[in-house]
Amino acid sequence: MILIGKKKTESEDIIQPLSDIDKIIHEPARLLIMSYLYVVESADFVFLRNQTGLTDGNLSSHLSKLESTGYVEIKKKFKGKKPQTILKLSNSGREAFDRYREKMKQMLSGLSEK
Amino acid sequence: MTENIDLKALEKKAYRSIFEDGIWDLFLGILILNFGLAPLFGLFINLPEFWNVIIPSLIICIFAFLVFYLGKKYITIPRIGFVKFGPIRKSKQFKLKIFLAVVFIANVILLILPLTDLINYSQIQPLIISLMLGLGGLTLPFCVVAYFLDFTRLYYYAFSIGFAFFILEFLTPILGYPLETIIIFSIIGGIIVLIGLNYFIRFLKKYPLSK
Repeated sequence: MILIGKKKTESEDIIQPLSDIDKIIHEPARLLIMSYLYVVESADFVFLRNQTGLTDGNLSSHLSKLESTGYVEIKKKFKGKKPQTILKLSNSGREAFDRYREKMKQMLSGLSEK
Repeated sequence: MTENIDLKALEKKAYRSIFEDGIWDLFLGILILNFGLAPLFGLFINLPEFWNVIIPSLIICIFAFLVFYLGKKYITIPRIGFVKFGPIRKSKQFKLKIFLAVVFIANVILLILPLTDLINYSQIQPLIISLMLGLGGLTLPFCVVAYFLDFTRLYYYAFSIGFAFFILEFLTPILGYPLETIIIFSIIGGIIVLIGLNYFIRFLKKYPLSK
C-alpha cells in the first residue's frame, strides 16, 4: 500500500505541469483564436472567422467562453446600418497567453527521452 | 489546428490577406497605365500642349484612387473583415508615410528645377535621364514601399517600371513620341491590371459576402 501511495505521488509530480496548463486556452480552436488576437491589436468577427476557418456558431461560442474568463473584450457597434463586433485580447488575456506559452515550452522541454 | 503555431507566420498570414483582393495591383496598374493612356488621350483632346496630357492624367489618377478607396471600403472590408495590426506594423506604416512625403517633395523639386534653369536637361544624356527617372524615381521608391508594406508582388512591378523606362530609350528612335510611351506603359500597366483583376476575381470567389 505504501509502495502504491509513493508511486502515485511520483506520477502526480510528473503530470503536475500538465494540470497547470490553462485549459481554457489549451482547447485547439480557442488557442487559434487567442493566437490571432495576440498578434493583432484588434479584429472584427468576420476577419477572425475567415482567418481561423471556424463557423459562425463555433467561433461565437468560443468567444463567449473567452469573454466570460475575461481574456477577450468584445465591443459591438454599428458601422452605418451594419453591426460590427470588435474583438480584442484583454491585458489579462495577453498575460494568460504569455503564461501558457511559457508553461508549454517548459513542459515540452521536460519531455526528454530519458 | 493542433500543429505547431508560429506566431510570426500567423501575423504575416493575417497581414498579407489584405493584398489578396488585388486592389493594390489594380491601383498601381492604373497609375502605370496612366503613363501610356494620358499621352494617348492627349492626341484627341483639344487643349494646349502640356495640359492635354496633364488633365487626362489627373482624371486617371483620381479614378485610380477611387478604385482603391471604394474597393477597400465597399468590397474588401465587408468580405474579409476589419483588422488593426500591432505596434511593429504601425511603426513601419509611419516610416512609409515619412518616406512617401520625402519622395513627393523630391519629385516636386525635380519638376520645378527645369523651370528655374539651374539644371539644363538638354546637356544630360537622355539615357541617364531615363535611368534616373526609371530606377531612381520609380523602381527604388517602389521597392522601399514594397519593403515597408511587406508586399512581395510590388518588387516585380518596381523592376518592370524601371525596365520600361530603359526600353523606352531604345524605342524612341524607332517609334517616336508618344507612340513608344503609349505602347510600353499600356503593356506593362495592362499586365499589372490583369494580374490585379485575376486576384480580384479569385478574392470574390474565396470570400463571398456573408448575409
